[in-house]
Order: sequence, then structure tokens, then C-alpha cells
Amino acid sequence: MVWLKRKQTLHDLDIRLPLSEIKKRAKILVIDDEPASFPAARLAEEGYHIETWETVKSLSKLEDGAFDIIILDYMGVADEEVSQKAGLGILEHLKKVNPAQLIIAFSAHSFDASSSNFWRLADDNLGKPIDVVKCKEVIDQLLVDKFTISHYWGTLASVLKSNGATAKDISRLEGKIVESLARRETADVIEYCDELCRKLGIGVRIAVIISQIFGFFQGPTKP
Amino acid sequence: MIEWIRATCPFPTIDRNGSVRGGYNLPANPKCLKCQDKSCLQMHFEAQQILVQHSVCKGKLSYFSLKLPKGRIIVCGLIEPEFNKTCPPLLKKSLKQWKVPWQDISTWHATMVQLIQDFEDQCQKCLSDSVAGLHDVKTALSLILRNTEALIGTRKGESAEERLDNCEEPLKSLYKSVQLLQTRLQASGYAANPEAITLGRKRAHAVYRQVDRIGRMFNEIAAKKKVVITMGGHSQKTPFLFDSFDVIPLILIDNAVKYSFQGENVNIRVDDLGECVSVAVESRGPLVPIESQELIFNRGYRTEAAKRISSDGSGLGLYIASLVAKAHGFEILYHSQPVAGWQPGRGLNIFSFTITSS
Repeated sequence: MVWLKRKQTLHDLDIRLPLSEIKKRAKILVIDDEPASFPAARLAEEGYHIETWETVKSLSKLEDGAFDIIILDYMGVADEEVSQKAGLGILEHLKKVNPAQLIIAFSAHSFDASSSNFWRLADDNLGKPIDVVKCKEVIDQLLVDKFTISHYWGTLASVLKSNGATAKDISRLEGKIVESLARRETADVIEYCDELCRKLGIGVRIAVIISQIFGFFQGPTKP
Repeated sequence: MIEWIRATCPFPTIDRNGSVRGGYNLPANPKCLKCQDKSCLQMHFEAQQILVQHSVCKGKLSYFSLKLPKGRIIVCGLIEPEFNKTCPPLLKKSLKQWKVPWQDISTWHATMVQLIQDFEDQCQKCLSDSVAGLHDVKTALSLILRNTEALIGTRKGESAEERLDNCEEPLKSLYKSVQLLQTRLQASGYAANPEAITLGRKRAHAVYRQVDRIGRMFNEIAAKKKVVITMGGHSQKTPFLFDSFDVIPLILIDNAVKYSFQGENVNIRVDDLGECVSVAVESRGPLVPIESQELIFNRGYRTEAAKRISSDGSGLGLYIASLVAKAHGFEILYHSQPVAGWQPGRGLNIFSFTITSS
């Protein structure tokens, strides 16, 4: 009998890091026109990597997955000419181009029934006013549950499947990612991704999700 | 609302206590006023989904059960010419004034349903508009919260929680007050947009700790009435609940403190019961009269005693709490218990609910 070595999957590589390590790695962006609404300074003191923007400074940076969690306000986060309720438009756009992007809806407008979509589309919610303890609870839980290889790969596989990729395509991509991780070389897999996207006509930035997966295998961020 | 609809009804009606009232177009049927049987009353207590249900009573008269968004009314003492086959011709002749076709009842019912809906929509809009005005309050509260946290941040400790523990009492008290206001604002938001109750992810809630934390927020308010809040029971279960859950203990404890007699205790118990967690809030004060017990969870309803004790209430608290409970799949129950030696109408009020821990 010939024993074949089982092919390694991304699930096998999904090592759960302790929360303290996850906190050091995760980059968090808060977009809010009222900076005092969010306890950024207090969270930074506790080791979270927090950046704050009063409005969307660079949409491409958001699309490129530069931040692991985006905490997004509903109103006043873009120029008045764009829309007063720009938060929803930005959230919809980001979830379209990168469905794996973790977004926390952050607003004082929970009483506004027209904002329901904003809350529903996000991965989690924070209502204003918010205290630092609750903030930590929500961020930590999201990091533990979704800042994982399984989340990014699961989302990617589901996007590919819903766009007509075959099980073979998906498995091949997974194999390529695992190989690339072993070689610490991403060029091959990105090239394969581009080819797959062209074939399926997908607008989703698969390469961004893949780089997020690769991000897990980079060394720990120094505090 | 039902009383208001009865008052504007053109046909005679009968209430849950058997009292017959004439309509503004048609007086009460004398047969109904003399009737001992009152079989039409049973429709008040039967669960039925039909909007307009015609039946015939033992006195051979037609009565209609009309389902409305806020309850049900029974129109009685009529003769429906098409469906009431049992009414003798002689009776039909003598009571021809009360001959009303089904269509007339149905048309009036449809108009009422529409009116109630319009009224509800208007109320909801007014509520949303007034709550929207709280946005500036929320912004100001955020500032207070940030400054309070900055003060707490100067105390010793590795985390926000440790620093808070190491704070002196006045600062802790300030933080608790801000949190109290924060949760109250959250509750107002649910009244304006009940959909917000189920927003966000369900999280594991250490119910005992949570209820205890909320109880402590009221310590100062309670102390002013010489009311002591005690916490009892034992619970380690952490059921998955929406963040909105917090407003239930907030509202129940707030009411308990508000409507307690001076110097009495408010006792809170949280216990694990098999796979469930049970929570009970007990206070001593005026009891909710039996006829009001099923109305206290209606929006805007306040008992006479509640109005006497606190004139500034809105009657929204228990309504919001019941909405949140419903969204979580459980119900808030009310029990009253007389206290030996106390006047009637005063005693122990118990609000309780049970959460399944799955």
C-alpha cells in the first residue's frame, strides 16, 4: 500500500495567536469627523495600533486592505458634496471590492431607521457614545473571531465560488497559496489570481485578500 | 386605544367586564342590557386570527369580534341579515333598528385599522424626530466620557478596568453616572427604531456581572430615597445576547427604585436554572392593579400610581424592555404579592424573566 502525504491546507496553517499578539499585529483605522467620540488614546495606551482620520483621506488605501479593522462613522466622513451619509456608501463599496475587510459600524444614528443597512452590512457595531471597555470588548472579539486565516480564505473561496470558480480552481489556488507561503514568495500566486479574476470577470480584489493571508506569516510587529 | 375606538364606534359594543355601551349611531340593544349569559364575551378571551368574525349568541343576535392592531372589540346586539339564519322573523321585525349588514361592520373595521396605522406611523415619526434631537446630547456625552476616561487613565493599572478599580469613589461615581446616561440614551434609540435592538453580533454576556454593574449605577439615586439595592443568587452562565440586553435590567431596576417606598429594599436575583438564567427584580411599593397588568408593557401606558409618584415618566420603559426581551425570545413577567399588615394595593412587585443560555 502506498501512503500519500496529505496535501496541506490553509486550515492547517491557521494558528490561533494569543490576543496580546493579535493586538500588536492588527492595524485599526477610525474614520470619524468627531474624533472625541472614540477612545483612541486610551486604546493606544493598551497596545492597539490605532490611526484616526476625520474623513476618508485615501479610498485606495482602504481598498488595498491597509487596515485590518476599519471603524467607520455613518455621517460626515466624506466631503459634503459626496453625501452627508457617506459612511454607508463607503461601507458598501469596501465590502464589494474586499468582502473580507473587517468593518465596525460606528455611529450615534442607531435611532434612524434609514441607517439600518449601514449597521447590517458591517461585521459589528459600536453605538455612540461608547466607553473604552465596551470598545475593547467589541474589537477583541472581532479580532479573535475574524482576524484569522480561516476568515480571509473562507471569504475568498466563497467569492470565487459565487462567481463560477470550480472546486478545482479553488483547491488549486489554495495549493498555490500554501506553496508560496512555504517559499515566502507571492509573485506566482498573485499571477495565478489575476488570471483567475480575468477568467471569471471578478471585480473583487482577490490579491488584497491573499496579501492579508500572507500578512499572518510575517514576523510580529514590534510594539 | 381600545377604549377610544369603542367611544367612536357607531355600533353597540361590550367590554371585557361585560359592560354594554351604545354606539354613536345605534343604541345598545335592550336584549343585551338584560342578558345574563353574555356568551359574546368569550370572544375577548379566544385567540383567533380572523379580522371580522360573525357569530350568533344564545339570544339569536349577531355579534362581531373585530381584531385591531391594539386589541379586539366586540360589537354586539345586531342582526346580520345574511349570515344570521337562526334569528326568528318576529325578532328580526321587532329589532329591525339593529339590522346591520356584515359589509357595514367590515368597512368601519377597515377604516379603524387604517386610522390606527396612520396614528402609529405619526407617533413613530414624532418619536424619531424627538430622539434625533438627542444627537447633540450624545456628542456632548462622548466628550464627558473621554475626559472622565482621561482622568481614570492617570490612575495606576495595566488596563482600563484596573485603572477604574484603582480610582477614588467620586471618579468611579462619575463614570457610573455617565454610563447610566449612555444606556438610557441607548434605550431611547430603541423606542424610535426597534430594529436597532438586534443590530450587531450576539455576544457572551455574564448576566450576573452585567446586572450587578447596572444595579450599582443606581446606588446613588437609590440612596437619596434610602432604598438599598441588594444583589443575590448565583449564576455563571454566559448566554449569547445582543448589546441591547443591557436596557432590560436598566429599566427594571430604574422602575424598582423609582416606585419603591422610601426605606425599602430593591432585591435583585440572578440564578442559573438548568440551561437557563433567571433574573428577578423585587421592590415594595404600590401594586399594579389587575386590570392594568397586561397593559403595563404597552407603549405610553402608565398606572395611576406611577403618574402620582413620578409625573415626568413617558411610559416607554417597560415597552422598550418588552421589545428587547421579545427580540431575544423571552418574556418579562409581572407578579404582585401582598405584604402582611400593608394596606390593599401596596405590596411586593416582582418583574422576572428567564434567558435560555444556548
